[in-house]
Amino acid sequence: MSILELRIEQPSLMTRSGDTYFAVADILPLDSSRGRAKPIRGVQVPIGGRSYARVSLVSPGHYLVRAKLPSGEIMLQRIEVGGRKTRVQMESEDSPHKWLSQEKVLGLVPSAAHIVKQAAMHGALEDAGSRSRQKSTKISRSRPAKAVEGTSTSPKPSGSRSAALFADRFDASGRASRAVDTVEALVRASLASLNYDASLAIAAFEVPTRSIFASMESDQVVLGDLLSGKGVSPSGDESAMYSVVEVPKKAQLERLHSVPTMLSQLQARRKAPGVRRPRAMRYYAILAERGRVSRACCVPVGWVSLNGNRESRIKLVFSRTPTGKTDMAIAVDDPKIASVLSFLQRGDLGSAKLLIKSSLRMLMEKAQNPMAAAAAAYVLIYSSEDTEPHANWRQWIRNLGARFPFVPDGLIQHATLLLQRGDPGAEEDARALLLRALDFGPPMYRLGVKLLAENLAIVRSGEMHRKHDNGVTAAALRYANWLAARVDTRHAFTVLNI
Amino acid sequence: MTIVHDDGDAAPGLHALLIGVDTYPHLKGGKKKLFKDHEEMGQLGSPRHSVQLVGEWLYDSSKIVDMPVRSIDVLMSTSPKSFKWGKKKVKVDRASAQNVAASVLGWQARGNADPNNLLVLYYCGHGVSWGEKQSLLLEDFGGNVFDPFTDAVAIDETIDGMRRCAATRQLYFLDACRSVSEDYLRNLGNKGIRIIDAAAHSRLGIVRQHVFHAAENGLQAFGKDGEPSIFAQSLVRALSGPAASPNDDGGWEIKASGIYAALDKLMPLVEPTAIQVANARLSENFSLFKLLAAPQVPVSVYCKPEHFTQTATLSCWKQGAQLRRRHPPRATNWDLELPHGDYEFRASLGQGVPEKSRNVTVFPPLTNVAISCP
Repeated sequence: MSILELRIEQPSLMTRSGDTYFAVADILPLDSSRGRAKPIRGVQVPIGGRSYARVSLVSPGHYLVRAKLPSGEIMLQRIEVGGRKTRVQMESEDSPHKWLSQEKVLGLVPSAAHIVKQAAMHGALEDAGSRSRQKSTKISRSRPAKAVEGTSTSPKPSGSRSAALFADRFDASGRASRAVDTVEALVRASLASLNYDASLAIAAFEVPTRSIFASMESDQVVLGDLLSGKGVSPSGDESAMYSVVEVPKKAQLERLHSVPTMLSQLQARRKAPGVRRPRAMRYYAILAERGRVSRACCVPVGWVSLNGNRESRIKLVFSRTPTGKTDMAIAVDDPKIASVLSFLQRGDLGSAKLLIKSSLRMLMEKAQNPMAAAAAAYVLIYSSEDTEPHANWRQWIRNLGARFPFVPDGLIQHATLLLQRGDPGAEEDARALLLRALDFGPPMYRLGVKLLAENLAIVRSGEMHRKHDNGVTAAALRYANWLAARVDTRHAFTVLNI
Repeated sequence: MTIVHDDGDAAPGLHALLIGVDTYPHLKGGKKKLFKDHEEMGQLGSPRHSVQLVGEWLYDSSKIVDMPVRSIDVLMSTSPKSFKWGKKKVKVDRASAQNVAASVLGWQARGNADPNNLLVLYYCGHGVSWGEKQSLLLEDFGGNVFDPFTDAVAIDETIDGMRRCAATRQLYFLDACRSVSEDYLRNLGNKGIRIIDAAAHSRLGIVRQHVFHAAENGLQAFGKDGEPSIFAQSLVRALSGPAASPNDDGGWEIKASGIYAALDKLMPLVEPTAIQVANARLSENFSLFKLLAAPQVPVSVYCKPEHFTQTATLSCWKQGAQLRRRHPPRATNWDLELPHGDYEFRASLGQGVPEKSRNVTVFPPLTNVAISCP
């Protein structure tokens, strides 16, 4: 019997003790060792930190370690295992900057080597004789006005998509008001300048909204009832391809509700007799490019880490795309769950399941972080019946939707159990869950956006078969399809292209 | 529907549907009235060759893998409309919306015969993508100016609907652009025909579906006129070995996850300037088939520092016997293909400089060999 100790080194990656990112590795006996030894699969290998994965091997000899990182990087290393203990440290590729090592591990930014390679290749495609199947030139579109840092730009035409985004749909009587200019001005004033002609605000929206999709126009996304916005500025090298913004902690954001002067009208309205008080809050990062709102990203404010019961740091990672646009992604400083989310995002259900298995009970029963629990629930929902990692998982998901509706993913997951995983229940129950989920705004995760549209299509199809034309379901499906068409599939959290 | 092969055996096996669209009469360069919202899309020169290449791999697959090919249906909107299956040439139906719908339904029905069937769909042609949704454009796209996507397939919804099929292993290879068209999204209504309704299926987690895209969302897929696409070339190469992993019986098998890893490594080998990514749909992994022999693995040998690669004589050895040698001067890495195993690679710089060597296990999907030189 030989012992192999294994870890992956990521230069500059700082992690807290016992709180590391994980790769998933297979240890494969090579020809000389095959016959006696069998492959060992699914070893959780720490990335960074000081701990090692410890594996018992039947015999010494040559092995191949094949490790999958959350970033999608695959590392192969031939190793020789001696008679007793062998310690192996595999070196992962460098990140583009020291302060981006976490983001590199999660695949939110590429490695430094990849960037160099990409730069060398960029622009060479057409010259090399490759022919694109399709050019993506746009049909006539007016160019937006160029923005001045952190200031408002020329007024947008009435009914523009960005106006719809911030549409305060409720006045004191509960029906759509025309406070658009005021609310939009609030956000505009809050926008802080990023690099590359873009600005950013973290905005709080009150939920539930009432039938947000019922009265929406065809090209709108409604996030809720805007309460406040705060401009945030990036850290890092101003000239770099990447910027990082740390999202203020929940308590800081909550204090903001009384700060912006523009809110006074809203607050006065809320204090009016008969007007409901805010019930729950959703937070979004709102990105404006060249004076025009381009993206809205669900921000999991108040995320409690799996280990340590502390509120995790949340970072927004910005990068410039080859087409000159600004990309936005979220990194949560909760290494294990962040690793799971990255594997999920890459379609690697097996690795995600392996990592989450030991933490399921803590996530689902302690319920300290319903957002992380919802991420774990996606692993369960998509797992096959013969590999379900826990007996009580269906009940956990039902509880998640019922107890934490402001994470709409739980409600969508419950509906998925009814419609797609054989739970007993009527389509009508599933429909009610989906409509309730919609009332709390877009799902936290992009997988939720897909399931929302998928489930509503099933409900709608059932109604059509029964010749029961329900206008509300049709409107909900339209809205869900709109979200699905707008969601950026490269990210785990919901990022909407506006 | 053109069934070019059907072995008539009801036992589980592989059922393939191959669709290639080169000719778009209503897009740029087409022979019919130009669709005004063509977005610069025109005629293609690669899908026919791509479909043919995938078909040839399937024809030869019995020599490589243990999965019998039960049936193949081919639709091509190309000129000429013929498909080579072994020595026979078959005239195939065009990829119209009606034919594609009929073929998908027929393919689904054949898959229904046994849960252990493996279903494979390969599409090569124009595609447009929005978020989670992708439309595959068929031959007549743009003919109906009021509702052009009646000649397109809403592939994501169709794949959802395919969970109603009994076959629990399904692979979709979508060799098409995933460019985003803002104007199509806003203006053009529905986004394609949903061939199989997603109604009341309860088989999430039972039916395993993997979708391989030729490009990351928002990006374009590439192919050269008169050649198979980069994706098709990489795919057939991956299935012949680089996608393999060792199983517990001492043999080799190809799993869906291995295809992702192999495509990621192989596409830049086919076309170094291509920046393409295969993308995923969340599903359990599954084994496609076992390889009948050790996998062939692409190997790239170079010196460190890299400028020595140009002047070094590179050689490959196994158990003391030289297998291959490359003489200088060469501008690029030494790319070769070897069966999995242990090898020694040597770099000789001549002029009294000691020869350098490195022992390496050649292993899928791709092995890079860097030999440190003085």
